[in-house]
Amino acid sequence: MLEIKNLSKKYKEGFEIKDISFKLDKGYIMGFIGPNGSGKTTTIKLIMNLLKKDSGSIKVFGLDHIQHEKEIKDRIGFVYDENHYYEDLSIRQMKNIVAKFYSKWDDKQFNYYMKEFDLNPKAKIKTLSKGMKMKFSLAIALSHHADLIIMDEPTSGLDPVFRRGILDILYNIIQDENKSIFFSTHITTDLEKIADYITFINGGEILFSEAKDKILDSYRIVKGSPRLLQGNRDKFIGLRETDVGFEGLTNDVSQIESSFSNEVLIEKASLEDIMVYSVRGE
Amino acid sequence: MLGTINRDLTLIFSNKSQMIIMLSIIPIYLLVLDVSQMERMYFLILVIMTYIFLMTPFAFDMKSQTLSMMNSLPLRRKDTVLYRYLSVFVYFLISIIYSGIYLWIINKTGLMDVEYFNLKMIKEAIPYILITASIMFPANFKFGPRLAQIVNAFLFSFTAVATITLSRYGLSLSTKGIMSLMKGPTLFLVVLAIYLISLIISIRLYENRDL
Repeated sequence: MLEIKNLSKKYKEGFEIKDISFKLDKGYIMGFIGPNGSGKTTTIKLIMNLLKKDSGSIKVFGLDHIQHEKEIKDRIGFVYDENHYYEDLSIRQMKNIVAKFYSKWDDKQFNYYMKEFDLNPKAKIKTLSKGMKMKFSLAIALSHHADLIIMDEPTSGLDPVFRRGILDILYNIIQDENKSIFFSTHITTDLEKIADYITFINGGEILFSEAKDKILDSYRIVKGSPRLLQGNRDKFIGLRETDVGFEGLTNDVSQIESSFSNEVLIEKASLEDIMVYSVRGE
Repeated sequence: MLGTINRDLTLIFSNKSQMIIMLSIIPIYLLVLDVSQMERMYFLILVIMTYIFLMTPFAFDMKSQTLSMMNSLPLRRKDTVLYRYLSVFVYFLISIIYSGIYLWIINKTGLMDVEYFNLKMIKEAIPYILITASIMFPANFKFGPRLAQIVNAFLFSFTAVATITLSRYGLSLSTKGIMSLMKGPTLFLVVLAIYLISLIISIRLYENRDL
């Protein structure tokens, strides 16, 4: 469905995406996580050919994303991190503009989502709240029978009720095994609910891209007394220390168990733990 | 192509204030500008109307930062540029019809004695519009709406000032200056060649631009 190989892009300002690779298969949801400024939006813009890559390849539906740009975009539903629609237009006017470009635009589907999301087609886009704009953006993305939904921070800045609503919609979409969803976020709790795969980017590099369950199984949070850290710091991916103890992230539980025996407490790590400690380091 | 024109026309006539602006342009020009030759006024109205049809969508793109959205639609960048260049002819035709009807009404109601169709001025307007578009479009496709607006404003002002000046001294674009060296088919061929070169430059610039 989506395959990225050795993709690189360097900005004049210095930031770069360094030789990244990952793959999303049909029928799955992939969460694309990383702190702000890690390269999530850049990667998504590269997939959408909004930015020009320096090297590497991007294949969507098995096709090169530049040579087959039109066919590919016809099958992608794209949701933006912020509003990029004409603010002075009404929802209906904006829909009429967008609909003309898609070969499989479905007005019935769009009207269904208008009712489902409680959106008034006559309302001007500038009068919509952030949550409503996101729902409108979703309605557009879901009304042309897209096979791949790409979303850039769709839940950012939304309250938990809105976020849960959006996650429910995504969960319903994925019931069709021919569709896939690729979405970036830094709200990792959203992914724990619905993602099948997690790709973690930091500083323009992919730290891992694996099945969520495998990731959650392999990482652990270790808690113990600060004296245990002496000579053992390199056993942790990231550490947080206080006067009374430490917390560290590991992906080698057996090594920790053999080194510290029963002197430490070992707990399951959340995606947030993995992200925070991986970014922080030692 | 139809999708692009549909977008442009939706934006141009998107709301009441936008429609009022469009309806006011011709009377404002007739009342404010001191153009001694009425056929020059017709030329100016045609050029300005085409210019407004072309530039309004760019202005909306600047205000709402919609480039990412438009470029995520199923449309190749090359097509985006090509449609923009082709749309000039469509908007010129719309401007002839729109101005013709508007000026005919003004004429018939006796408010002012104005020309509502002048083939000679239409022939003069075509190369002028193509040349200005050849400058305007690469600027828009390279720099984006914000910086390109400066180029557009310059061309817009130049058009108005040049037309008034030519009118005042009874000059014609086709009989004076560089234009006088090329008449008839030669002029059109040269202008068309410039337009095609501009199109190729715009495609290159836009295809290699980060949005």
